[in-house]
Amino acid sequence: MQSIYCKPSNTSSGADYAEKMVARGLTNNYDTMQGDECTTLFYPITANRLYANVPIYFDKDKRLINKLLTCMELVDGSTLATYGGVDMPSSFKKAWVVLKDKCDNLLIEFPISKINRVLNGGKNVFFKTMPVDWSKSYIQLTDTSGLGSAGFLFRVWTVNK
Amino acid sequence: MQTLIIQLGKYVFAKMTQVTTVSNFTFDITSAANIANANIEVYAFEAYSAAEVATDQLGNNLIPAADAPKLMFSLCNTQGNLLLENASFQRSRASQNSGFVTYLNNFKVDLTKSYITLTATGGGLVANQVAGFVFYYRFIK
Repeated sequence: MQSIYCKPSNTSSGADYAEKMVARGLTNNYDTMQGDECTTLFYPITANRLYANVPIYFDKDKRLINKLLTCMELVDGSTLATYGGVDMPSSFKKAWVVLKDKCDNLLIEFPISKINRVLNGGKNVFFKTMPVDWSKSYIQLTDTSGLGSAGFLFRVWTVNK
Repeated sequence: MQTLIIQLGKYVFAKMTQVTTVSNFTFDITSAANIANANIEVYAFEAYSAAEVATDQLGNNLIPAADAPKLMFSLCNTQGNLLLENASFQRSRASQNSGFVTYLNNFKVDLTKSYITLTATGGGLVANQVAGFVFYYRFIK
């Protein structure tokens, strides 16, 4: 006879919770597909951009019009050495990324190191089909020391609106 | 394995105005105010030290990574009830947790009542360094 206090269950409450988070669209398998298209954005951090606490706005890119952001990665020079002029992970603790929508509402702000897989346990960072207005979004350097000879290379995954 | 999908996120920090005695420090509410709104649920968060980002956008220096184990933090709701007590700052850094963030069961967090706790002094801690967090949240009806 089973105890009324220990009702057997096939799923733990932890598993139930994980399922709820998946149903709410708040988690994703980290090895799943990231989006329909991937665009590469390269921002050389040269003298005209080498200022602390001055926003470096993303360029208006027609490839990103009517697209929703689903994943963003900052590729480093140790991962893609042949690209040329790509900053190393040691430079990534000197910058922030701020993403806004077309009404200038803040969507997310995070240290740029968050989206570098070397520094993020090999995991991609996913976004819930975020309506980013790239012309209102920017990178902000908080320290320029050691920067200026390379740049930030982003891979941006999107789906159509 | 499941990992984070970011819906919305906000950086907030707690400034340690002194580091000579163990104490609690509240979050900076000028940056945290909108997280406490009634129509917001926090579903995940992560902590940041200087190993991830040396300085925040307001010019505050983040605490050294070596001193991150000296911090813990507690999250409360608007009634002041503890939702998460004495969580490890160190293990809340995704870089120290295989890239995974800490999930919450859609907490109604009031950061004006939440706080970090400095449990030990010394090391590289200097007054006015901050413990940085990004809280991931969503709007609810």
